[in-house]
Amino acid sequence: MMRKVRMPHRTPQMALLAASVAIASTTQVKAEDIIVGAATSFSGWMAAFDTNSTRAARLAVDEINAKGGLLGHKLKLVHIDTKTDQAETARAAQELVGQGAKMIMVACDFDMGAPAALVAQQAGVIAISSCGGDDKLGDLTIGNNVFTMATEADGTGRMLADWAFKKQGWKAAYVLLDTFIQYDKSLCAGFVERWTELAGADSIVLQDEFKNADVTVSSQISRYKALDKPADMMMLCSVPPGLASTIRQFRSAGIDIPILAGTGGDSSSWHSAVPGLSNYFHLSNAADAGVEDPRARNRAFYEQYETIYGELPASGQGITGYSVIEAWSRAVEKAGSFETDEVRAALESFSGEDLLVGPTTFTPEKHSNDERPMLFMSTTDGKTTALGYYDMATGDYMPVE
Amino acid sequence: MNWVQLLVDALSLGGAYALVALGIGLVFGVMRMINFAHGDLITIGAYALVVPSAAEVAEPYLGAFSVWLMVPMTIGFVVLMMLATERFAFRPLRERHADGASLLISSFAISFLIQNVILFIHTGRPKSVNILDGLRGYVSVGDVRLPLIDIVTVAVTAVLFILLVVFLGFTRPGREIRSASEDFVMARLLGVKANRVIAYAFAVSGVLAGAVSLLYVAKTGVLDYRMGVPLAIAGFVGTVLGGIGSLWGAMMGGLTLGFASAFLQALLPPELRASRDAFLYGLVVLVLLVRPQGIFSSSKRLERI
Repeated sequence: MMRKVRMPHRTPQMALLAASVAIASTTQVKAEDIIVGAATSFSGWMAAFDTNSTRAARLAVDEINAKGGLLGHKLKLVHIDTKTDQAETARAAQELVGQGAKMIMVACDFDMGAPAALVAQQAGVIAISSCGGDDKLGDLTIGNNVFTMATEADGTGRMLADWAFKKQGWKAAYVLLDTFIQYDKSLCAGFVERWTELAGADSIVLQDEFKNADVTVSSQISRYKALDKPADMMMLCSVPPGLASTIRQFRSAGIDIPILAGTGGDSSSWHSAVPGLSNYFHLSNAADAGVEDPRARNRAFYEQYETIYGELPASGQGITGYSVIEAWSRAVEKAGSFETDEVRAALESFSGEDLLVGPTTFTPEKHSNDERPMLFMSTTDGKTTALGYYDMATGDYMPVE
Repeated sequence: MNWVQLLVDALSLGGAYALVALGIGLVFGVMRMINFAHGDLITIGAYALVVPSAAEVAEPYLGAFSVWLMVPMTIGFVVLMMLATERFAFRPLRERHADGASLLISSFAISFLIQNVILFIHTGRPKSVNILDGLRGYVSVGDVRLPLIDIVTVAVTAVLFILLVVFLGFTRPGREIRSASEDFVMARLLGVKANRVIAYAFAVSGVLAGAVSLLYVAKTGVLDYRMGVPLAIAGFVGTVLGGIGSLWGAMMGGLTLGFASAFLQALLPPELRASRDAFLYGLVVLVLLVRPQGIFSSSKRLERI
């Protein structure tokens, strides 16, 4: 009851507070500064996925400012912590819109990014997700102002199948899907689709499922072991902790076949679960911490990042935050304007645009990338090395720059 | 389908669920309260194995000690934390004669508090640690695979259950717990101190939770701030399924739930496998409709510890 009585009083107070904050902030900014917003989490579970990319975005802003700014204006990155909370996310986006942000970077996830993207869409502001790989961020579900720098999950799955078949020559696949999140379902769907095209449906010797939080995958191990002959490889569509737990249990059961994973299997932070991890392959937008990236520009980015933040981004996904700013500023330059309609048109004209995250293409119908070359990495005895950026168009690694 | 293999797979999951159900059932017996924070105490035990930090790569802390130190230190830590929750979250409420609902809400609050403190200290990124490395292999008997960690899980469940029976039957604190479970008011009139007997129950429940922490991490190698929640739910359902208030029932209920889960995982056709938990908990509802007092409760009257 108390809440009901107090609510009507509270709302105008909140609005007033928000308005005064907005006024205070805008007056502090010089008239010619252009605000780019970041509505991402620095606390709560999402922080683990947003912090690196938001810091990377700040690097990109600083770099642009050091070169004299954009169209003669300095950029100012305003970050509001969304605390892994959807209501906070929407509120943060509203505040950024109120401050006059020309672009808002949103979370590395559809569910956490959508509330901010929705506010941006309604306010006529461009919203770009760092590494949200869900189709819904790229297919105009929310609206035509929303983009993502990630490579879509099903495209990633197709790339893994293409690489496994053409580059490794594997013939018999075992597919194990973690049904917990949409990313993994799309990843496995893409893998199965491409693998079937290349090797035929019979070459998938077993498809099985588990749930990320399951304590045990004994049933799955037993079912695999009951096969007449082992598979050449296992496609594991999962994310930690389930991914690490599953690999530990499969390896403990003496199953040593190559294991493939998508971007969910990046970063060495889970490797201690599987001592001596070997015969493990995954891909990402760029190299994980401690892995030498074949691209010179990426290496320079990592050096810069480490100099400023004292550590490397854990995974190759952090780089997408840099490319959020890079893509938007490139579009602003092309358009010669900060106006949303013109910037959007410039973004939609990207065709193989050479960004840090890789060649990037957007069209009026598709605001994400499907089969952008990604970096394959191989882990032997717990040590990860880069194999190269694999291009499905050529069926080979891209030449080292 | 290798049925013996399926039994082995089921027994391991059932053993872990049984330990959780025993811990929840024991506290329920004395306090008539479901401690939903029990799962989060398991999480605390698991996180004690690594150095508290926001770093991406976890350094082992208790997990770095030899097994003879790591096991008692981890279990001891969980017991202390369990006693602390009792002392600071539940005892003040009991002393003010709060009703059962308030205690239940308090246990939810503790659960969220623990999760958020872990989130704050360790961040939300799942962590990994390798403990009891020697248990990573398996032995083959015929064409049946016996993972060492599963053998140990089942053995630990059996040993802890026997120790618990001995403790409750033949020691003074154990007898106090039993008498308090039978009739709390009468037990107090006869000189059993309420606070003390409840603390005993929480301490024993902490031992069981700590054991689960170690077995869980040895099996999976991973830590997640929400890892205890599904365990607590399974344990709670296990105690109800077995017959709430009965220790034997709690253990058998946990075992049954683990068995049912493993059998469904193995036997459901592929297109229904993703709905395993819907079938599992649907079965639980059916069982409770037929036997509301639980499967292993010997009489209609709620049997107590």
